[in-house]
Amino acid sequence: MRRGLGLRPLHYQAILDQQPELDFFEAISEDFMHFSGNDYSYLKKIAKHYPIALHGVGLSIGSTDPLNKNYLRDLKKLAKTVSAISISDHFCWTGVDGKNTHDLLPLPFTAETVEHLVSRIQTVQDYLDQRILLENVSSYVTFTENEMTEWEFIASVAEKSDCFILLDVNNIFVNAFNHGFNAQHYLQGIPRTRVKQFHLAGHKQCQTHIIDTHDASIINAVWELYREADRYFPNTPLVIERDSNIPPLEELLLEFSEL
Amino acid sequence: MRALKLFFIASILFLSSCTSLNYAPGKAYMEESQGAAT
Repeated sequence: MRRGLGLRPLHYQAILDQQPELDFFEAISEDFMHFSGNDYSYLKKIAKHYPIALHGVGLSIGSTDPLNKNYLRDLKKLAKTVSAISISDHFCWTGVDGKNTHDLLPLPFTAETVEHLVSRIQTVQDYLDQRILLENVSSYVTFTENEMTEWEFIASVAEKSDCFILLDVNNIFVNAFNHGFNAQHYLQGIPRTRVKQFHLAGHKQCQTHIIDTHDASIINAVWELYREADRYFPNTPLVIERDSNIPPLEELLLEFSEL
Repeated sequence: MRALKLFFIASILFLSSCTSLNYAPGKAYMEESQGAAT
């Protein structure tokens, strides 16, 4: 199983100095789409030593705004520049009517939304000339308009659009707690051949709900769910993400000792 | 489609009143490219 780590500025120099035993790094696409500056310079250096997976937060595949052609152009250029091994984003929308919330907002799980996403994903995949991965997001509300479960929604979109799934196991854990469903049912409902990458991260338990903070170590219960997921989707590459309270590189790499 | 768009706008109004969006990777690029949606 291939192991990857979310690429964060705090670790740039340590990665080049230590060259840890990792199979790839996952870079946040939009942080490098200026094609200049310190971040971009480091990315190109790191890409000489490690494969790079691109993970975006700005595609807004679920929005009703038109797809941003300049964004897609820059994303395609970046993927070519670093010879990206994959391009991913999220099953979400981030804004509408020209306003960007800079957050990954949940979608209503309806047949209309499925058709809406399928059309846009196919447009994106045709433009990028490759299949993309989309990730399940954490959420704190559900919609009375929902016509299906989250996993039925994701499975339907992936099958109809022929895209792949980036399965965030922590997000399944978070949503199972927040919305009261069985995480096993989620794993059972995802098509075996569609999952091409896992994400794991830490979260904050607030008793009545869980917030997907990416600011702490992965808890044992999430590791256990990951091991279950690994049985459903064997040999799927795993990326560990940390976005706040980021420890030194060597300390963060200890997370992989759970494997 | 119109209903979906109205739903999204209503959601933004709700979310902007109750959430703090502190963590926003890629925000600088997205703000610069926002006007470029076509």
